[in-house]
Amino acid sequence: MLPKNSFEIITEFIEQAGFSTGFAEINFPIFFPDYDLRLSASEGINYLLGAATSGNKSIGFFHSPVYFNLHNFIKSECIFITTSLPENLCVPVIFCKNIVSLKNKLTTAIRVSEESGLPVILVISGSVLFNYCEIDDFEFDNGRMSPTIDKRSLDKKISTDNFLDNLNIAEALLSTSFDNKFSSGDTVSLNNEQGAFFDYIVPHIKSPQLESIEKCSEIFISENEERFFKILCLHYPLVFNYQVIPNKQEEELVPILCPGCPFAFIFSRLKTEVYLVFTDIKCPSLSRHLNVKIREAYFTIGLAHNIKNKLLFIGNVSNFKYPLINIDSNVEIILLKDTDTDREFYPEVKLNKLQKAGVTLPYSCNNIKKYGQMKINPKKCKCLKKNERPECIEQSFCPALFRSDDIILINEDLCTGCGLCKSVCPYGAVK
Amino acid sequence: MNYCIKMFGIHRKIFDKTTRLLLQTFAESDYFVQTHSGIPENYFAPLKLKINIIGSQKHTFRYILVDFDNLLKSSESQSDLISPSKLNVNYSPSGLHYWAVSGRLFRIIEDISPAYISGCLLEEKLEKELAYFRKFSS
Repeated sequence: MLPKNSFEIITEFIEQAGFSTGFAEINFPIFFPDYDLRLSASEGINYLLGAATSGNKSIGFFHSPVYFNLHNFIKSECIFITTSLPENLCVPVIFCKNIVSLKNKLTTAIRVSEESGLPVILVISGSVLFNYCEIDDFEFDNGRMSPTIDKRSLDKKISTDNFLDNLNIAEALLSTSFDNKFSSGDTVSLNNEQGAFFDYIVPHIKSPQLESIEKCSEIFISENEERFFKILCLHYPLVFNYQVIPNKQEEELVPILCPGCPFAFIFSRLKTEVYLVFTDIKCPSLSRHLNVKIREAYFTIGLAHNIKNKLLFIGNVSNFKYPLINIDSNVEIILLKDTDTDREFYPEVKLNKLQKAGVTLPYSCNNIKKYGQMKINPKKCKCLKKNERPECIEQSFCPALFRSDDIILINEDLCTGCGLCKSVCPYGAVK
Repeated sequence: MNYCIKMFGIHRKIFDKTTRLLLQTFAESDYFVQTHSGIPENYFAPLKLKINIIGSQKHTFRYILVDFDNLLKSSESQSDLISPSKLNVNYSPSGLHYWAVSGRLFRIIEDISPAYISGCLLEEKLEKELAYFRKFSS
């Protein structure tokens, strides 16, 4: 039996468990077309909570930390899968460090949610997605209920006592499923491949695993997870000694953006060096390769008050609300059309006519269109022959362009025809 | 002998295919196999997978970097590097070079047989891929 990949394991789980409602945050590393609803993370959380409250099995995928206030107990299972450690504790959290334990953690999450009447957050490490494992098929007893809701059940608020009772149910279930404890000298990290991590935590209830960590004379934690441990110490409260392991230096790879990335195009067309550039599109490649800061639109607009710096905000049309406050003249905005909409805050421009901000671009990261097909004239493609840096690759970060011997070739399947490579080629080799 | 193989590639479909076949090959050769992956930054960013294949109780590893698409800008000098440019293989949009790079692994890792992968490629009538794989594995 060939090993299954993470996507196959997760989609099989969704199908076998009978989830009827789903949501995936924009730019979640695995693309689920049916769950791409163009909602923000908090909107998606509320959508799933609503569905689960009326009795729909609900599942969501996030790369942001998941936090919410629960107003009603849910009637059906609700699982939030995220790649970020929690920044607040609101419901039971299960952690999955290795793909080998993914099946067990997924099935436990669904059982805890069903029996406690609470949504469950499943935090997965970076090693769970895009990995492989030999696992058997999931088996669920799929008794489905018909979703229904009445006004009285919505009016009934969750009392603190009821909430604590349900957390105790979750703790009881989880403590019988997982009984691992920590010893002195252990590395306790979700994303570091060494050591182990918590199997679960339940708000307000100190699990045996948390108690074991207090008894250790010293443990080791990862530098980029220290914030999470500080949150735990404040929440429970918890006292323990730890040493921080610095983040590991990884191999440096050539930078790659999506083919037709609107940001790469905007950066090649406008003099972006005169701006501080912000976006609410949570793509880590943008901050790493193009020096774009990830912030909300209104943070950017607020930031601009009474300062002289020029600010540029680039964001999706669907996420942009009409500005209720005056926008200072030092803030310029470019919107990206991520969905077909009649709403027009700024006039739409053709790609090759982009010369200034205050416009809407006809596509966005999740809505990249194929404009055509770029071709390279091998006779004119000279930079590699002259031992020069290939401007087309270096300025576009495009995965459709690649070196083959002494010329650049284009992968036709990936090329969107955006024309960025054409505009930066010094030899006019692209058409 | 123990090996730590780090693989990088941007052709997601073919990366997935070669990886599964390699993992199956290692497992069939009685190696204990551990895998660790990383989350790519965007939908087209390179996939990264680290495979530890453990055949001895010694805590020493031979490090191998498998750079399917000439992506590495810098690497640890003590690692063996396999990449299309090192093998003088042209980069191909259809991912043919993946089979050359995968094939070379069989010359480095002890006690693994290319028969399983050859058999799969033969069964799927992927003749070009098989020719590349055989050329570099034998």
